[in-house]
Amino acid sequence: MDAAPATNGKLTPEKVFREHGPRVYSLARRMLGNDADAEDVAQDVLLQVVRKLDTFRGESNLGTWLHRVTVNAALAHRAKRARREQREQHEPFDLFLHNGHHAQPVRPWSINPAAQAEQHETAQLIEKAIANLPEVYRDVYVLADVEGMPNTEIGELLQLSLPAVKSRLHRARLLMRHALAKHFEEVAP
Amino acid sequence: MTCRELADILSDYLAGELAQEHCATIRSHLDACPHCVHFVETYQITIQVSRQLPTAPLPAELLERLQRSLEEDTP
Repeated sequence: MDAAPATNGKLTPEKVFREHGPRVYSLARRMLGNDADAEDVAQDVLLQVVRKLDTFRGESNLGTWLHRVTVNAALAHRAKRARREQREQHEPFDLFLHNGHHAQPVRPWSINPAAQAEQHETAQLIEKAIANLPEVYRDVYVLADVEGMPNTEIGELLQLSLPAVKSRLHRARLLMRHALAKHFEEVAP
Repeated sequence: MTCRELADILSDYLAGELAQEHCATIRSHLDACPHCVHFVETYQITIQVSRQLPTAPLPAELLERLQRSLEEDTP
């Protein structure tokens, strides 16, 4: 486990579970793609933190630190699980013909992006599309486009070069766009 | 520029990391290609909706397990 940060303020297990538990669990679930593995990782991470509470002096930076610990725990859990990537490896640029044109017409989407993700059904579709991404793209997508982490930090965390992070992120976005288009595209006239 | 070539460098374009000449080529392609206009819009929407995903609450069973583990720690 990474070294704990110096912090300010009073922390209790209940406060850690309540204020940081959902983010730890959500991040682990998106990276691992299933609830059971995410619960195992969240439990390990949260218990390690609360058992060391007396070494903290508060909670500034605790969120950032927990984020990093959760990513490392999820990666370690996945390595231990050693499950082969079973999903089909998609090639995002298959969506184009040899002459460089779109293979299919591209239509606008009939959603309001400012409000849609908060609606349960839409959120479920997006979560499912993330879970279906190949792991190599999913990690980068979750950290960059869900968690909002800068590419340089993602590179450090996943031990990838900046060009590799950017390439994987772009491919993940293309696959996500394609997966969501099936649900959100306006019906052809 | 083809649609595929635009897609190749779209991420860099949106991040403002392309040279002016490449940006001009992209804008010129977009002026003539409605499919790519929709493609760029929906690529951006994909990122926007992902950034707004809600955080899942801790499952009640997991919270109980955590509390039980803490009680077992207490001598």
